[in-house]
Amino acid sequence: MKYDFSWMAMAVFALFVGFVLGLSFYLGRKAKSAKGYYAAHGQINWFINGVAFAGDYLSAASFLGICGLIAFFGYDGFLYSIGYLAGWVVALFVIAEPLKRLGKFTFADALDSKFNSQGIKLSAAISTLIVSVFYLIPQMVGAGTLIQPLLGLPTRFPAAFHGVGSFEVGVLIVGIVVITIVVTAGMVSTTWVQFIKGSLLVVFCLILTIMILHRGFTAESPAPTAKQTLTVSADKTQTFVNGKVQGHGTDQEDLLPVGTIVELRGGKTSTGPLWPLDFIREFQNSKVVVWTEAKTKKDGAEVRTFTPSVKTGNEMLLPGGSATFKGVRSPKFLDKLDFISLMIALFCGTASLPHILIRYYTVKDGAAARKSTVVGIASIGFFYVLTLFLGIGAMTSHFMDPSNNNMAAPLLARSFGQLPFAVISAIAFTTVLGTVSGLIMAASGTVAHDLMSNFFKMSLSDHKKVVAGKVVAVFVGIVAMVLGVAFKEFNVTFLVGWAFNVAASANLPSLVMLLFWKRTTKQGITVAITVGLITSLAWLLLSAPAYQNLYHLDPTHAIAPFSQPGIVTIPLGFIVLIVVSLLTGKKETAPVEGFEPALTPV
Amino acid sequence: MTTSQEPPDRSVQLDGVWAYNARVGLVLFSIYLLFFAGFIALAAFGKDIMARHMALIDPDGAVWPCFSGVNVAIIYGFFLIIAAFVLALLYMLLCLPEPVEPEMVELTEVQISELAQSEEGSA
Repeated sequence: MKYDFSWMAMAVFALFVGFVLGLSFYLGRKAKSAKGYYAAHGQINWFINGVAFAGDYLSAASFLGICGLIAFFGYDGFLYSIGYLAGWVVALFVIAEPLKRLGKFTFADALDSKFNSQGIKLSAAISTLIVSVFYLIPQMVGAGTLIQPLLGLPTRFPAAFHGVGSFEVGVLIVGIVVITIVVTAGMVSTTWVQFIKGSLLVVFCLILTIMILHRGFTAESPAPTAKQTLTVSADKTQTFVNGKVQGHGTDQEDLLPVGTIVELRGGKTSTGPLWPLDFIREFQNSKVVVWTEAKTKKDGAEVRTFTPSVKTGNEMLLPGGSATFKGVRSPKFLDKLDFISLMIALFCGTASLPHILIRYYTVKDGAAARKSTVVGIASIGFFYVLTLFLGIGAMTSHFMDPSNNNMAAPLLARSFGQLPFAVISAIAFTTVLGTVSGLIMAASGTVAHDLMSNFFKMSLSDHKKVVAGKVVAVFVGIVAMVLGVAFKEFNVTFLVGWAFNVAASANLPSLVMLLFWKRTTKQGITVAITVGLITSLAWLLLSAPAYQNLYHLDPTHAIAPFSQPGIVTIPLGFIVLIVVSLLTGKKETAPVEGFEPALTPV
Repeated sequence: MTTSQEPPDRSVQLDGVWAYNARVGLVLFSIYLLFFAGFIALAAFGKDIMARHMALIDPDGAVWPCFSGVNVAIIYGFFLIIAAFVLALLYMLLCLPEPVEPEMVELTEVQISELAQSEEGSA
């Protein structure tokens, strides 16, 4: 859909970004040392850190992606909410405290605390970089998606710009702003940006949920039956809707907004305000119009056809509604593996994400790490409960863009007026800023601390360590921008699911075994990280979604039997670590004094 | 003059606290893992159960809808989110605090002589 420029949206957006940048410059004056830049001097208050956890974690995937998935596919989006939160249980109960005791700046510190091994330093650093970049991609996709309706830019610019459009402009803006934040102030400003963003996100989503509940449902009949087509010309400079140039002028046509209920329980036409569970029950007992998409090629042009169908609310509130998880409803066990594998990856992935792990070094001790995780779980859990209401509200708002499910949350806000749209869009953009700055911090800390100082033994002064981190931040930011454009066809939550698979496969086996198995060796850790990283990455890049959206090939030719590798590659990491540790155990030197696995006999 | 008195058993105490906290964490983790595995199993193999609406049936056979008649899939999802928070709170309550690290103390001349006398006495 094409969106008109809104001064109000632009003003609110500029206000938010200006405030975040101003705060960043102000706090930047206080972070001159390496410990200040990378770990905020280890003096962040546990409550601030807990909300910052939420700000760090509730990325574009959580806000834009989950709302979009629920709005278009129902319960399958909520599966991500459940999985993302469950992952925090692993982080709190298994990883948080021992990791805090063992590390200094990065999670490679913790892995290497027992061995002082070059292999661990290198493999952990590469793993951190790859996971961070994988997680950065969906954030950039989210930023690109948001900017077009905010600024009212054309989807595609003229031919001279080679198909560049508003998406690319959005990626460029978020890249520049985030690099500025990270370069100016490091972990202190990143923490405060995340704290503010986490608070705003939860509070405004609560307000939006209350507005949804107050509005209730209204039935709109008859149900639409006509298909809509969106065609992108072969040279990618023009778009057509139903055969006409896309736009709002004469002889132009735009996609019609979708998302309606056609029948309510008992033949009612509207429900009025509803309590939360009554809201879900009413939806469950209603009939809703769902739009499915099919992509075809015609003379080099890409044709996307959107087809309406009527489904019951109860059917939408069961797993298996989306293409990703349709195997759940299949009688074959193999078809269900994608779902089971993703849930395992989400459960194991949170505790393996480098940008989450480094936040444990910004508080002073294990107790503060524990308390901040509990605050994080409370904020994040509450937000994920809200996502279900936001998603259902979007699905029935009659404001959805069938061509872009990542826009569901901002468009839901637009159904209440321009101001809610402006605020929610600005918060969504700040959401991207908060997460991206945390990821770039993790990547720059890894290069400057793990690689340059520890692996290559470069003798860097405190000041040079900070400068090196800033240079890396610029480089990683640019890489993220390029990859964001390359992956723009994907749903952001789906991409984050990939990042969880890679993180859990590469990092979790080593972290858990180091903490709980005395016979773990440095060779075991190095090989487990390398094998987990390579196998999960290779699997993802050979899966059907990569064939379809990345290489534009027939997805049925994909080599990987299903798209989510976690169910294979996470256990593989554990097995490899155990086998290699047993084979190399006798050669191991004595543990460093003071190190003990977390579970030693009392 | 600056001196410090490190209790000889602090590192032993610390090991004990860490091991106890780790055990509590693992027990709570195992409980949640059961809940989560149950959810995955139901979602993958029990679609009919997930689609059911929760209700109580009294001795007279009357049906009383629970949770406004919302289906099991939604209720189980909410339960997992709330259970994570409740177990996290429980963990915070059950964990032992680390023994306080002794601070470096500046002793006065009088305190030093008193300390020396008490050490001589105990010897």
